[in-house]
Amino acid sequence: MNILLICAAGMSTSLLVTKMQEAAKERGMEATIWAVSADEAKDHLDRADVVLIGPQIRYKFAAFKKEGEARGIPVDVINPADYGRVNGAGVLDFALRLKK
Amino acid sequence: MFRRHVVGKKAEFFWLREGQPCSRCFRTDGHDTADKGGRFSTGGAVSGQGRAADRFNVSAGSRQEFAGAVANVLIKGGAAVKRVDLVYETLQEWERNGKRWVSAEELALALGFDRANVSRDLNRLWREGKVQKQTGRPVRFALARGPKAMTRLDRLAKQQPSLTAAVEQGKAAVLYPPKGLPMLIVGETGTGKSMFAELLHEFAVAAGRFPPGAPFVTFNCADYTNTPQLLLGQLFGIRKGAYTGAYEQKGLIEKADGGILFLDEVHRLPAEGQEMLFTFIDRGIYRRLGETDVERTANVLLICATTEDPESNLLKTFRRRIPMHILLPPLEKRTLDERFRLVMQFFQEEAVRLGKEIDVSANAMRAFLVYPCPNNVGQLKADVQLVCAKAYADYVTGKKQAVRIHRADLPFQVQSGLLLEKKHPQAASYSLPRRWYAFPPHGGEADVESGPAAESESVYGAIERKYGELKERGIVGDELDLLLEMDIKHYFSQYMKGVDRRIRDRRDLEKMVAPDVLELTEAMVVYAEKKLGRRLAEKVMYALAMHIQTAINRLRAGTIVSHPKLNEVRAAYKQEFAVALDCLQLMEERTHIDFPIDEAGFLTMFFAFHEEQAEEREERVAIVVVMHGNGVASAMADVVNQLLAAACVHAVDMPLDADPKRIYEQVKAVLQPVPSKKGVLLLVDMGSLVSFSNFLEKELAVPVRVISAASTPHVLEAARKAMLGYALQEIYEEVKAAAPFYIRGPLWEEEAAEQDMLAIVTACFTGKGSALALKHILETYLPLDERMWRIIPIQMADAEEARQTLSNVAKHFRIVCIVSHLCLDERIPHFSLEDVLSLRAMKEIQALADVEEIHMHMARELTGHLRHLAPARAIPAIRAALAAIGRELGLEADGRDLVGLVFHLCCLLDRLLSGERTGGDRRASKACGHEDGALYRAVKEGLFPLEQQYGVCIDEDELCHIVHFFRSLQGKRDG
Repeated sequence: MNILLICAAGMSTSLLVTKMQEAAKERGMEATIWAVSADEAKDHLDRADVVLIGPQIRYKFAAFKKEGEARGIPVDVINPADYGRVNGAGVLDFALRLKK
Repeated sequence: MFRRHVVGKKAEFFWLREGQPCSRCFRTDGHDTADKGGRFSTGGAVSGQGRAADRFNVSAGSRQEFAGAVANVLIKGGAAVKRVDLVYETLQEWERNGKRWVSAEELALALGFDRANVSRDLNRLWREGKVQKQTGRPVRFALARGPKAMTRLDRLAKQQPSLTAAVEQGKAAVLYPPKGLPMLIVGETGTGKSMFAELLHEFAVAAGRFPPGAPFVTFNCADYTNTPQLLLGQLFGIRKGAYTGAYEQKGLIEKADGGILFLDEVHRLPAEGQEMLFTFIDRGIYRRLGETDVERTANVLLICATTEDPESNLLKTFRRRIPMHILLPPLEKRTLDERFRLVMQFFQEEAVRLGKEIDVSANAMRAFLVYPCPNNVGQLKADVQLVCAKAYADYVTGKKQAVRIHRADLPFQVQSGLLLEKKHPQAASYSLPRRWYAFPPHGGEADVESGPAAESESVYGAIERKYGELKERGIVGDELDLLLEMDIKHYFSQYMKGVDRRIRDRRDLEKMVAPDVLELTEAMVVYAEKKLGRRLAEKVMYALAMHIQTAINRLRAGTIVSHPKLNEVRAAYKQEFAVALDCLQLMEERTHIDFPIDEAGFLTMFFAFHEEQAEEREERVAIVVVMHGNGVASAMADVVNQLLAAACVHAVDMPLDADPKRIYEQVKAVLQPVPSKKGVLLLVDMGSLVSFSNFLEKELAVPVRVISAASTPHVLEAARKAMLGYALQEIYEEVKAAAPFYIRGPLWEEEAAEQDMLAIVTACFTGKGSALALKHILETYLPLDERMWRIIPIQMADAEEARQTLSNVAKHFRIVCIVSHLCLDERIPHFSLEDVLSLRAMKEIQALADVEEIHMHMARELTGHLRHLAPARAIPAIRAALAAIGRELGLEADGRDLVGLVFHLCCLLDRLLSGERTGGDRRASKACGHEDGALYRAVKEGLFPLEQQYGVCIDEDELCHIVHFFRSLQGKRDG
């Protein structure tokens, strides 16, 4: 499963990515999780199964949602509470729920 | 029976008594005569011919003088009759003929005088208690009946029953045989001590204790505090040669012989003076300064006044000699009725002075009844005058059709009376039946002389003059209003500072110094102040005037002026000396006397005097104005500096595209190299500049306060207070109170300590019990993580104690919210007991708690992740900066909305600290600054504290990102 995280510059999310990867490993899940900046996102969309957006660029949600719908990929904004707590497991669950 | 001498067609009258020669023509026959009713029949052989002036071949100039002198005294020579006596005699004669209650008009017509003059005379007679007055229009007068005629003193007691005891004491002291008792009037500033003394004088004359025209001499002992010799010289007189340059001078005691000497602020009299004075009280003898062989006597009734406790400030021996202590109660000790009468009287007086009806709304009247008035009746009167002057200014400038005063026209502190009303139950129920109170220009009861009397003309005349002046200079609209208003305020604030005394000083000065010398001195002082860039003390001006007078006299008499230490003075005070040389030239031009250069040495000492004396106080709070826009701050500073005639306000302009960092450096530069130890007050227009204060305080190591949303009146007020030497905190508090949109500094400035726990504080005034109960409820209903949270019940006696406790708690905890009766700190969310007990507030508290927990977790997570940034400190700073941007933009940014951005900024700052480039190659969004200037500026300035704190620079791309974020919030708000 490929999970794409988009944030402003792709750096604040890297910690979250690490945490999510740890959580996936614990569960014995095969998952590719990576983060990019909003400007680079277009090139990565096609490889993703789920797209998660950082709450600080919530204002770009509508645009990405459109892109996602065109490709049949679910897109949503990460819950600020999970984001702020860097709750890797929580965000992973969120991604899995979206994919269903 | 009177006769009159008519000169020319336009009647110019000379009044003659029956049987005495006309002072104009020295003839006893001819002349018009008046009948019993006051009408004249022409006896007219005399008209314009054979006048005294012609007969004695008087020059044209002195003929005018001659005519001028006739205005008040109608017949010169031994049988002089004053106009006022004539008016009185006429009233008596008419009354004998059964004609009682006449108007000034009738009398004026019958006597052929100007109505205003007659009216003034009648009022004077009324004040002396010789005539009675009937209200109504026109006001009618009649002889006072019987020996119990009311004096103004009696009227005072009637109008202000609280003063009855004081009045009775005063009367008793005046009448006490054989010569009256000396008195000490004790009362706070503005309770009317001087007026009371004046009324006692009137009473003494009316009671026959003194003959009419007995002297009433006043002297303020505070005027010469620093020069006791001069003070004693004023009081007792000086013998020629008593000290170098002393010439023979009469003392005030001598001038007051046969009357009253009023010594105000007697506690400022040096001990030596008190001793000399009680010798005089005991034995009626005194000596001029420097006299040893002569004993002089004078019969003087002494009235002293003090604002201080006489027990502690006067010599015991002196106190004992003044047995009669008269206490004038402060305004707050008087009844509402009394205060109401005072307010009515003051408005009426203004209406008469103005010659215009003044309308006052009931609400405005009510405010005047209640507002706190620490300077008592004097302040009440000044405030009424201020309000009238403002209303009049609005009328003159055409902003209002009439002189009307609504509540909104009142100064803030007067308006505040309406808020205090609840604390005064009697005031709230005080009946003001009318919606409007109208004060007619021909006032009924007002104790004012009608017509443009010299002193009353000044304020209104000044407004009109100033208006004309400003208009001529092409100043219009708001600026005109502002300047006019400040002018008026200035006038009155001076009064309030007790500078009104200066007027009395000045008159004294005018007696001692020739008018041209005074004028010259003033010109020199103005010039010197401009050149030196600072104010000279009032004292300096007086001393200088006296000095110049003496110097001129000496030079005219051929005495040589020499300064023994000329060269030292020249070296020590280069700047002052240069100014003195210029002034010397001015003196030579005006007086046509050649002054030796030594004179410049003396002048230098006068100009330098202030600096030496007041070195301690010289240090003032620095005032800096920082405003957005080209030249806005400079213009504001210019206005204030001009008004105060001093360069006391610094300005830093902030062009819209300027980098906050550069502006910060400019502000710093303005204050260096030696920042005032008394501190700095920053006045800024937008909240985003508030953050400057924290950094300045650290870098300059002096206290810094900041007022945001400042406008010119704030700057003026701050500068004025700074010039008067107020402390930073005092200025800050007062200006802050005047600033309507005061925004506090960011919360994090006080939270430098690391807070790794969260707290909810429950506070009760009633005791710890209910605070504990609240704690229990919160614990039960909020699923809080115990490892992060404490609910802290506190107990307090008052709000001040509560604040103290809170700041202690804040050293270790981040206080998320407070549950209490009152809001204890407006920066911390507050919930009422009711909302918590009913559980209504729980959802909101939970939301707040969530946001805090999130940030707490974030800090813990990031701690291991970031290389350079300490998140526990950075996160609160970032949140404060973002919150400030939100406030600036008027956004209620939810804590949750900002979580992502806080996270992002932590990472960004960390990267910047490690020296990494952040932006990459993305240049597409560069244009955001131009799309939305205000938003961009708010963000840039809002992030300035972070940049400054961490010494980094957030690049354009990153800024744009944050700008976009806030724009989306704006979009959400605006739908």
